[in-house]
Amino acid sequence: MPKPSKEQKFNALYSEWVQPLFRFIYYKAQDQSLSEDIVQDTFVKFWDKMETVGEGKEKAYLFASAKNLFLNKIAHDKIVDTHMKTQTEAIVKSPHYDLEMTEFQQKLNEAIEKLPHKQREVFLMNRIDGYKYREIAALLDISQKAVEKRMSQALLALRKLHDKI
Amino acid sequence: MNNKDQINFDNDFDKQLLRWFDGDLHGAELTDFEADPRLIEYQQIGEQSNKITVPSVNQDSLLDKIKTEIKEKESVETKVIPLWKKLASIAAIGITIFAALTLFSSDISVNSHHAIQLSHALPDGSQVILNSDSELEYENNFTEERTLNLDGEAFFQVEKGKSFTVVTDEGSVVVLGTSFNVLSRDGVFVVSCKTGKVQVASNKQSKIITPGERVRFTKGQVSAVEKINPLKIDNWTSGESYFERAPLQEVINSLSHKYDLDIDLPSAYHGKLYTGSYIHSDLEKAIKMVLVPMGVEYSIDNDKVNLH
Repeated sequence: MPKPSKEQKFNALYSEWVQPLFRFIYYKAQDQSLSEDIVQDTFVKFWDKMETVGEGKEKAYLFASAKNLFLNKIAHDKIVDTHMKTQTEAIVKSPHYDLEMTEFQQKLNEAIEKLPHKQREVFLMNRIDGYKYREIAALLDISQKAVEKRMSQALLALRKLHDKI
Repeated sequence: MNNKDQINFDNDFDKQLLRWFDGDLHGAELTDFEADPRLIEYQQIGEQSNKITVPSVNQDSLLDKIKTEIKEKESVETKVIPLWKKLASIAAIGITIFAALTLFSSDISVNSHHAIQLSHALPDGSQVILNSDSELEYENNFTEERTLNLDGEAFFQVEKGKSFTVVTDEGSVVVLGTSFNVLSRDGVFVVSCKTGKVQVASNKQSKIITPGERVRFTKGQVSAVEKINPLKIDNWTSGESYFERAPLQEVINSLSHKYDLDIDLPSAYHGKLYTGSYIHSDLEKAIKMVLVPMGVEYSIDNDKVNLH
């Protein structure tokens, strides 16, 4: 069988990782177009570096690179968490959630949006992507203990919703 | 003891809770844990948060953008080519262009008539809203060149990618990915930037404008860049044309194209500036909205508006 070309290899990795990468950034950014831009930049950069990234290391490279691009972006634009909670963002985002939400779902969504982005990404990677703590730790390049701590903090914050209702 | 304000890592329940969320409890341990009444609240959090839908990307269109950007970057890395090869390749390009022009000269043309506004999607995903009595034209290979011709007024929302050029009789506009408005007719060329960065060139003079800025060329002469309200730049696309310190003649021209009117503005009013708006749905009201605040007396006789 002939060796796949660089482009074929790139296309395969793109199809495999584009959506998970997008969600990964979206959990932090909560902004569709910003997240798309970062995913675009990540793959453009990856094309240049593909030959130097070892076989099997592509996923880790893509996530690390997307994370760095995101951090540079917020450092550059000074868009911290507060920016992401503006009125317009909330309106843009609402159609993605179920139209008929119970009061609890609504409160839960709001509470998730308000979590610090480090806790939010761990919680959503676990809930939506079904990643194990071990996998999240590898993708975020932090220890599993740190993941568990963030998950506990997220759960504690969300648990308080019950006291309010 | 369950301390609500702190998850205690030594607490068995909390330890198991973490493992439960990780899908790491099995067998009897799982059964026992799921029987714990304290779990109910967390179960609800877990179940409801699984229902959250996160948006996704359009992966084909994003891949196109990525490939375009990669190609562009690679073409920028210029190589030194011996002169004879250069000449040969220029000749080859010349022949290709000639062939392309003769073989595929079918252009795409979009026209809007009086009182009609058109929304048009370009092949690269960019959006154009064409104001009344305006014309847009581009070639079949638009996605490669991203160049189009405009006569009249249009608001553009440009997809990110390589440069996007709007050519008009009065000058041209080059952008990368942004939204902006172009008005080019009756010898007037006005470009307003809503987002991103826009380069405007006319008659060998060039200006770069940023969001909330407007540049005006009158008979090829550029005037100073002005600040305007970026939120109102594309107001005309939703039924009401808005003007900020616009020459009255320009507003009258806009009305004429919108309602197919014939209005002569007496020279006494030339140079007067108008700030305000007119609606697209009612001719008489529209005229009133423009002329009354400017103190112009008028009468309407069929489709002819007479100014006094």
